Order: sequence, then structure tokens, then C-alpha cells
Amino acid sequence: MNKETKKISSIANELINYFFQNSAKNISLMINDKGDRSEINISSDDLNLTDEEVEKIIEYLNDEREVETEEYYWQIMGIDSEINEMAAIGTMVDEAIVNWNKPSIEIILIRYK
Amino acid sequence: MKNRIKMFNGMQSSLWIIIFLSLSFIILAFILESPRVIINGLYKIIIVPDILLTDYIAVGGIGAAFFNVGLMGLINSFLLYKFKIHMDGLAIAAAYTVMGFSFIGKNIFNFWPIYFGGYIYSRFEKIEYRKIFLIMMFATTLSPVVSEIAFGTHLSRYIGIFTGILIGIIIGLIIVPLSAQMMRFHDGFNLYNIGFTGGVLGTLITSILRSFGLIIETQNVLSNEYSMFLCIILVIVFILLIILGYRFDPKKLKGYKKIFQYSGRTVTDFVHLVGYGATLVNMGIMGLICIIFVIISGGTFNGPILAGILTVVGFSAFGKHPKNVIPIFIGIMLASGITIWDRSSTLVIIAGLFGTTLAPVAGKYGLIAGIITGGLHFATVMNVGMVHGGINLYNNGFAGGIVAGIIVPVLNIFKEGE
Repeated sequence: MNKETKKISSIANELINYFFQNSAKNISLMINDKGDRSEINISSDDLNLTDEEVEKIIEYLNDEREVETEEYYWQIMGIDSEINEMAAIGTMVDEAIVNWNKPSIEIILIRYK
Repeated sequence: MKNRIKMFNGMQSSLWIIIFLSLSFIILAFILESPRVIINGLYKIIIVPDILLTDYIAVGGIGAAFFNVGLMGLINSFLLYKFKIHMDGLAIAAAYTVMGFSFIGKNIFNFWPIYFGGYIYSRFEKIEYRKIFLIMMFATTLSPVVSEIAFGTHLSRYIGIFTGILIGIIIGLIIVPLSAQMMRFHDGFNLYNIGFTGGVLGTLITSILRSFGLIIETQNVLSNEYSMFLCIILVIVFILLIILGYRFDPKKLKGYKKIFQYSGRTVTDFVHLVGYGATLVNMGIMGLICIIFVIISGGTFNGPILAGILTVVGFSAFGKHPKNVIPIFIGIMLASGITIWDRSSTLVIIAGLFGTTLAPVAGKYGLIAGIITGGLHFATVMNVGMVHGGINLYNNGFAGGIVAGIIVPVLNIFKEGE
């Protein structure tokens, strides 16, 4: 597995763990390699989050991509998922779309190679 | 839509503060001493073996030490600017750490080989150098290896310099994959991960050098004549950070207390989480708390103490805040009170300051766990320096990695049992 694939895997792992920590009973995950970019689509229909928490997630995931920091920490993502790590994911992806219809959520992340 | 404008403003302001600080140190150097004394002092700083603890104020005088710190700040600011690095929490931590350690081991000669080694690694991996530049800034923890081999062994001057530079390049070449591997040992609960990496790698290097009869032992070269002056400078800087942070913060600190909800474990970047203004205020407050800690301990402000305080302040943009740092301070003060060590000695006080590398343990598991962790860290850090002979400047990062790797799984037993 190359490093780029491992990074995609660590982002997905982080999201899965975060969903589990917020009482998700079922999670759907789809990862597509679209040549110049990877797309991660994760959803659950029973997430125990408040509107304020989802607002924070949207804000964090929309932080600017920063290629200069991810080498430092990507290996430990997904180990102990806290909401602050959504900001770390935000710096690793180029686009983020969050659809929230309590208690259902869908997160689509796009990372260009 | 990504928040480009907000981050751009933060980046610019933060870099300007570091440039301002660097220039201030250079101007102060020339106010305090003549150019001739400064240049002579700088030469002494360059040729002295820099293994722990070597206070550049004692080696080259306060003017030369300030000049070295200022130059290191300016050179690294230029590189941060050149590589278009966003000045978020990690970059701020790296910049302040480099400036701090330019009082006790990093100088304008010994960091270049490591940077060059990192450049060769980026060519091998076919990645932009800027992607690993922050890791390289931290990797200068092993800069003393370059100076020690070049000037501190019985090798002839030219062979020594060549060998020192070569070893520095090799360190830069291998530190990135090593640091990623080491991070998993403590799961980000030790904030000075490169210190842990440097400790492991430094142990290997020292062992090899000792096998060839090259003696590497820790030393204790300290200054004590500028304590009050240095304390006043620090107080001014930290009050300025608080004022600037207040001005930059659109919420005027109403959201500052939110910072306490974060454990601080890597990755906790306060610039992203609470904003640039509140982060600056946190840095200033943490600086003042460190000063109080030194005064309560009865310590002297000198090069190592400044290195410790500036590093804490830098990492107050990347995980540290009063709630997760104070338990570590308490643990270390209690441990130093019941053990053989003198609480007011520089060695003990920097163990306290740098021991806050374990702040995320207190942030995650609470006050008591933080106090116990501080005590364990103190016992460990006072003994591991001899293993690598002091060539790893972030000795507390090494000890912190060991402690975090042991205590976090143990604490998880109790947490998961709740």
C-alpha cells in the first residue's frame, strides 16, 4: 500500500471511530479513487450529535488544506477520535460537504493527489 | 468553501511576531555588547560541543547568545515564508522551539546539515521539501551531534567537521520515517515526538561513537548573572502576546475557556480550533505561568530556562493550556521534594517546564493522572540523558515518550472499566 492510500485509510478510520464514539449503530463507507483525487463518503442514520457539534464539524472540515503539516501526524489519526481531529482531517482534504438531517449525517470528503 | 482569508491573516501576523522577536534579540545584543565581543562570542558558540546542558550565555556572553537566537529566528522565518508554510499551531511550536533551543545547542552552523539531509530525503521520496520542513525544524534537536563530532572529539579538525556534517545529513535523511514510526509508540500523548525520536536515534549514535572510543558525556555549563534582566524581557514579551491576541480575537476572549475542553493530544491545533487571537492569549498566559513556576521553584533565569519557557509557549498553540499543564508542574514539584534532587536547580526546573510535553495525559485522564505522570516523568528524565550522552536536546521528549508509552495503556485499563 502506498503512502497516499494509507492516508486515505487513516482519514476513513478517524471518521469511523468518531461515528462509533457518538453512538452510531450502522455506518456506510465508500471510497472512490478517481485518478487525480480520492473521494470518501461516509454516512450514518443514527448519530448522537447536537446541531452545535455538527456546526463545529462543518467548520473544522472546511479548514484550508495544509500539505506541510500532515506528514507530522497522519500516522496516529483514528486512534482516539476526538472532535478536534476533525480539524486535522480538514487540513488533509480539499473539499468537504456535510449533509445533516438529525440524526442522519453524510460526509463527503475530496482529497486531490 | 475553505477559510482561506482567515488563515492567511493568521499566518502573516504570526510570522511577523517571530520576525519582530528575532530582530529585538539582535538589537538587544548590540545594545548590550560591542560587535567585536558578539562576533568573538558567536565563534565560541559555534566551536563549543553543544551537548546538554550548554548555556550559550555562559559560553559566548549574552550579546552573542541573543545574536544567535535572533539569527536563527530570522533564517527560519525566511524559510517558513519561502516554503509558504501556514503559521498554524505546529509551525508556531516549531519556530518558538528552534528559537528557544538557540540558547542551548542550536547555532547558525550545526542545523544546516540536518536540513540538507531532509532535502535529500524529499528528493528520494519525490515530495516537496515544504511537506517535511516542520519536521526538519524539530529534527535539529540532534544538532549537537554535528558540533560534538566536529569540535568535541579527538578527531583532527577537518576530519571532525566533515564527519560531523556527514552524520548530520544522515540524521536529516532518516528522521522523517523514524518520527512517524515513533509517534505510534505514545499515540500523540507526548507532544515532543521528535524529542522521543531523537532520543532513540541519539542513543544509537552515541553507542556507536562510544564503541570507537569517542567519549560523549553530559555537561553543565550555566549562566546566572542575567536572571532578573531575562525575566523582565520574558514578562514584556508575554504581556505583548496577550494584548495582541486580545486585539486579534473577534470574540474578545469570550470563547477562551473553550480551550480547556481539549485534551491537547496530537493533533490539537488551537489556531484551527479556537482562532488565532485566543491562541496568542493562551501562549502569553502560559508564558507567565512558566515564569511563576520558575520563581516559586527558586530558580535562576538562564539559557536552558528560556529554552524551556519558549518551547512551552510555542506548544501553547499546539496542545498546552493551563488546565493540562499545571497538574504536570505539581507532580514534578512534589517528586523533586521527596527525591534527592535540588528543587531550585536548573536541571530540575527545566524538567518541569519541558515535562509539560505530557500535558495531554492530564488533559485526557484528569488532575490525579497528570500529577502522577509528572512525578514519573521527573524520575525518568533525570536518568535518561546519560544514555544518549546529551546529544539529543529534547531529552524531556525522549523521557516523555517512554512515560506516555507506559502510562497511557495503564490509565486506559481504568478508563475502559468505568
